[in-house]
Amino acid sequence: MDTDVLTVAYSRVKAILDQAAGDSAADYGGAGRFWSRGARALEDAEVFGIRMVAPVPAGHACCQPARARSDASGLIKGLRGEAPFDGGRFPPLPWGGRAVAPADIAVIADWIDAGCPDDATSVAVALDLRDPAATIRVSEIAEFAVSADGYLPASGAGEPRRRMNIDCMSEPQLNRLRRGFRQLYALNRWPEDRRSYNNQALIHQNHCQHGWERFLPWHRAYLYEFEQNLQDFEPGLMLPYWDFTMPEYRPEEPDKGRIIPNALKAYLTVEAAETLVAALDPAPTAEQKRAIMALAQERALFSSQHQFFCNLITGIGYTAVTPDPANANRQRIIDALLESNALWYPLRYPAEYAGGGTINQVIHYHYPSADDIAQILSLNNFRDFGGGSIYDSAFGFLDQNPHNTMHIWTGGQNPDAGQAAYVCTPNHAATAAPRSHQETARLRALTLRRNDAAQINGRRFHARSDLYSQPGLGDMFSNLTASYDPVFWPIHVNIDRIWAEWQKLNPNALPADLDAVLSPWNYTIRDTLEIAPFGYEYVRSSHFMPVGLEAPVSRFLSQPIDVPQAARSFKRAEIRLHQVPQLMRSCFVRAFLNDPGADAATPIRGNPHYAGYISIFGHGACYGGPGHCDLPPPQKRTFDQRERSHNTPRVHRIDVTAAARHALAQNGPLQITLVVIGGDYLEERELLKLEGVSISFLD
Amino acid sequence: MATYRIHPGIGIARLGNSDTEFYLAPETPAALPLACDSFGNPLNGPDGVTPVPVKTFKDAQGRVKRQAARFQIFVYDETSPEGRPLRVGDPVEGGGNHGVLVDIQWRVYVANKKASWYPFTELKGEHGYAPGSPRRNAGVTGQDRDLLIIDPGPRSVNATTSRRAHFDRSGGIGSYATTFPPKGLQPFDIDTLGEMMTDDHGRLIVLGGHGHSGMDVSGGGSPKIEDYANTDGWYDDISDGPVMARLIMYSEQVGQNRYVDVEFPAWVVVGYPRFAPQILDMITMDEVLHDLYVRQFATDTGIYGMLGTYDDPQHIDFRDEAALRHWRAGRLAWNRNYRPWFYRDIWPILFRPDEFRYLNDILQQSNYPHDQAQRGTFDPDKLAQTPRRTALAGDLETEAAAPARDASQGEAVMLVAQSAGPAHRSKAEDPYGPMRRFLFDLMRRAGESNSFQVQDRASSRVHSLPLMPLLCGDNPLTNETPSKFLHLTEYQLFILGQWARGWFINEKEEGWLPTGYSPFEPYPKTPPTTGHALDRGVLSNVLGGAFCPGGELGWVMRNPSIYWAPYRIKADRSVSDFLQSAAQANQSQGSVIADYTFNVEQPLSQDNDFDTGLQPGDLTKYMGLPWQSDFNECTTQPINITYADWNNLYPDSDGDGRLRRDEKTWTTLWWPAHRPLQSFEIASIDDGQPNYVWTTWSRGIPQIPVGDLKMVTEWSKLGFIVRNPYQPGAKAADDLTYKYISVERTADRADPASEAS
Repeated sequence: MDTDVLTVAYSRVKAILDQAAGDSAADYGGAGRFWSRGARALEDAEVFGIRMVAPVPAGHACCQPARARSDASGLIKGLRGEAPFDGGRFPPLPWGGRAVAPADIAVIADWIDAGCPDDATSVAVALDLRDPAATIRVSEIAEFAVSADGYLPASGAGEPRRRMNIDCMSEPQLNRLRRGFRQLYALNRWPEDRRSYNNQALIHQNHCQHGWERFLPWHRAYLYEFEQNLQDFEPGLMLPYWDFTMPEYRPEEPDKGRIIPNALKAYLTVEAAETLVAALDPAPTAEQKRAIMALAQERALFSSQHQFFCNLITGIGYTAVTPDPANANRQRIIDALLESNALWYPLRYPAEYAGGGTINQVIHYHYPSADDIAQILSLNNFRDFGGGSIYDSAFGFLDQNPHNTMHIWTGGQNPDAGQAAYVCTPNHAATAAPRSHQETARLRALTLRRNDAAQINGRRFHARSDLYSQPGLGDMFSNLTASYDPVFWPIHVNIDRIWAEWQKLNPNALPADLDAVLSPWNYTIRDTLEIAPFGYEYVRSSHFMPVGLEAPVSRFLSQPIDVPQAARSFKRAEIRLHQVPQLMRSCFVRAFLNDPGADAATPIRGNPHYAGYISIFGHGACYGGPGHCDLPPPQKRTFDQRERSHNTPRVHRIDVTAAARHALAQNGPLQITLVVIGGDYLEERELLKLEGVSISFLD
Repeated sequence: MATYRIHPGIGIARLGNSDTEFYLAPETPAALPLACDSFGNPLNGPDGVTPVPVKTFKDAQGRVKRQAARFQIFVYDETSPEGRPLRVGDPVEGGGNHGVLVDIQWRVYVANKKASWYPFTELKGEHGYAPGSPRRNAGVTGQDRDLLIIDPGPRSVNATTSRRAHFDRSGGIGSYATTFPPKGLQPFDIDTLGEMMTDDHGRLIVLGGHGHSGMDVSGGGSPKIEDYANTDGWYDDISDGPVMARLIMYSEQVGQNRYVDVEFPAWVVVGYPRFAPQILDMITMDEVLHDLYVRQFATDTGIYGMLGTYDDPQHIDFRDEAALRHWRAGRLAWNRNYRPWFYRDIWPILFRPDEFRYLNDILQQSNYPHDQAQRGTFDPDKLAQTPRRTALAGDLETEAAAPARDASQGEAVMLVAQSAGPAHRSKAEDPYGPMRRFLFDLMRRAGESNSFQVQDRASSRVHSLPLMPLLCGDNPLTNETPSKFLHLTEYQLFILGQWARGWFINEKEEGWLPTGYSPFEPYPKTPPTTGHALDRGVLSNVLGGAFCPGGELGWVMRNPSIYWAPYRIKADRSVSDFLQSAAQANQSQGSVIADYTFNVEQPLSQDNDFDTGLQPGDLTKYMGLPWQSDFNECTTQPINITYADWNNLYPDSDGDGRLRRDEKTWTTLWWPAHRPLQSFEIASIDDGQPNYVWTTWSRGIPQIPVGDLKMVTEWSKLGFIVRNPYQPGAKAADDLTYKYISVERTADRADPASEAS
């Protein structure tokens, strides 16, 4: 619609209002039938001090919303029954008579927006909605790329590290995570090394807190401790969170969704597939070999070993494998899958329940939806949200479902347990077969006393023999075994994230017993109430571009950033300038998105690429002697107890939410331009230094 | 997403000595209570939906029926932002589950903390008690003080399998270790604080005690009362406490029941009987709270808010203390452009004083200063008339109104607007303007609580006349923080001030009044449809001052620290909520009715902790003990008006004969609608037409402590004062000479024939 002609005449407006008013004698505060005395009189009419027709909005017409004038008019508000005509100050208009139909209200609104023409004239209004096309110029400046593994350098002292959404992480970031886990698995060879994966998992088995208010504080400390362990090997590595309510998981019919994050699924790398193909006995046919190699090349993902084996047997046709834990081919395959993905775990049967039923049918629990989480976030006291002070009486909603549910969802019930051969159904989501009451009761009891179902005795966790075994339930099913499965971490990080979100909404809602110690550490509940001391924050997706402090930057231009699909539904987007040292002179930094040619002269008003600015206050020339304004070292010297150096680099933030939404609506990548502008409004070329730039998308 | 709230936020039950019979609390102002069956199901009229009012206030044995507080759950969601009642069978969601409502579990925990609290000494304690202030029963010390609290423990019921529970000595099915006064109190033992049940729609019905008050005379002697509000050794069965609810839904999704609690507890308060239920107090508790929320919590910033923001009102969260503090520090003022409605906002205030003429000699035998007839000062037709403009819109606009909306000119502008008055176009014709201004000028303002008149002041507005309302204030008794006379709330005064200026709307002129409206039945009669309206309607029948200590509740209700939301008391959730969490009920597949009681870490507190919230008994503990003593004495008070700031003068110490001769007092009413003094009664009936006698309401009971002791046994014999069924119709008072009559006075057993109606 480029042009629209409105030809509503005053007489039409008067007729509508006359008809609605009927024979009402309402006085309208002395104004009487204010609409019946001509267009100019109506335009000027007031009832009890309220302008019936709002004045023409100030400012240029192009910047006004289409219906600004009629929406602000008392007559239109009154006819619609909007405040102050909602019955509090005044009843809806007209007073007496009967209501005006919405279509007729629209007619009157059109008349107002057309400038209240009287009958002698009709007005044509041209609505020009032309988008000011931005002229893109090609940059001649070096573009900065996202750092190879996406993580901040470890030197960013004082900055919280970012726990990210596992579904928004890049392959290099995920591989770093896998490396970290492998390092801890490798330590299992030294049973007395407390850092080993098994010893870390044993902490949960022996000390974990559920069903009361220690649940959230204890796990916050546990995640932090485990994360520190990982960072011993992979500096700066952070645990990711799994937002299991994202649309990809189809919470309303979760068995048709992604089931678990792709990063945690079974797949074959090409190297592992080559080894496997060579080892299988009897050897697969050439066609089968090609099919197995194709699995690797295409990075085919399987949510459980059952899915993989059934694909191998019924899809590829290689049948020399049985569920028997001693079956050599099965062992070779599990070896290959473990070799390929350190985050995959064989004793994990997500979405698989007895008789092929769903979690709702078999366990009487339902997969959590975003609505469910919103409801839980709306709870207004800690007991209901996170648990009360009485063990065995005071479950919190977050603990019960989603937490318990996600354990049961990812643990699952092993369809291959006790089977002589793989039973593969084409449609896995078949309805559950009818079961005896006894069996129903047994399965229901599993949800109450999940630990009773766990097998601990005689197991050598993460030993091959254990990983080949065929237990009835996944390890996630029970508290005693849960954290042996790496999926434990992203689930619990997400629970911790939901708690952190809730804490922002309810800063004063606290657990009852703040002094309780969280064994086996020395944290008390009180120590866990803030995440800042633990040094992390939650972002959906974050992209760091190193710059370096060596030379000043006048303009920063990123290479196009590939923002993951799952990160595009953020609530807030933020650009950060990391570790900016004190500047001599004051400046602005303007941010533009997808406007690589932006410079100091690029208009900002009405420019959808303009994302925001910060102003940095100049520190002035150094009045001290040599070294007075040197950058302090990233970490204080030992025993240096003095207050923070005045020259400590800062982090500056720019909220770019609106512009980022606009830029990502085009579905392409994102490119950041930062322009440094001095007090003279010209580009400032010799001023800003920084270690890097990041853009983060927050939930 | 849906939110579930219990309404009313504060429900009012009333004592009665009838064993089993009760009626439901009225939910509109000055309405009769509603008749109900023994489960609290309202009795409906012939159309099957309209509830019928109660017919008799006493049972067949002449005992006062109790008034039940009824609570129900409202759902707030996208389709009903104002809320709608929730019914069994409705879809519900919460805590991450959704299903169909199959049952409601209710939990009530009431207690009586009067005997352990501080004695009531007028305003002392309103802003905290000095360290070392003595308590009631100060001779009881240490752990024994816990025994002074009547603590029956919590009780739960549901709408299906377990529908009734008693706040008695038994501890209920949860076997709570209760604390009750020792047996052998004189004249009455206290064995229960009441009971709770569900009606057929799952609504909660809460009953209070039986009006049993007694003194522990185990030390010998006989019971006596020495003070209007505090006598050691006494207990009564008044109580209050939180009301919590749990929704039980059947989840089709998982084939099981799921549980979620409502947003926050409500509160039940037990008061003494409302003997004149159809006559409103000059200030109701609803008006006290509304005024508090508007001024302290920014709940109506279009009326009271930052200058210049009225047309685009600020929204500040009720619990955002920092934002509210910032707001209160701002340039706040009443919106002088706000136009109250005459029949909705103004007349219901002006209507009330004339009603008191049926409750006491002082007004009945005088010249009817509040007469609403055509010759009277309170003729609604005259008071409703707006200033008429001689010219219509568009003419002669003066500049006066324009700066009135310019906040930058601040207070000066308000004076301009005031002097310009409503006639911002041209000179107004306003024949009744002087009458309105006269009535408003008579109103006592804040800061004039101790002023009988203001004629020798520069602020004098009227000649020689006492300021109104001429009712007792919070402290007409002592020289410490005296507050001799009542003044209307700031909101009421603002409304009347706008009216006096002619800045109001006459709904009749605008055609907004429903057909059949009569100014002589000015209060809304349609049952409330929203939770907020229910909150307000219920509290409109509760006394809103003076608080010395008051009727049902006292000055603690003016304290902003005790609220969680408008009309919702901030409960200490460690005692208000179900001990087993709702998520635990999900986990263990069932919610327990016998609330676990093993986890009582602390007995009910002897102290306040407003930061945490209120406990059972924390609202009524401020009231007189036993309640009958203060109730009996609150008829009239001779107030010494010689010097504004002094209630008690001592001319003798100075040998000051001049002072003795100059001393002046005024015999002032307390609150006749809660404590009538005189009334009409039917003396005889000839040919179906009654003959009336004007008589003392409580006979043979002097207004001194000796009478207080009599009242402990006599209160249930008093008559209830109701609209005279022989003189129906909505007419001005002097067309209905016997508008209200006392009925159902319980006569001596020996003479049952004389029992009224």
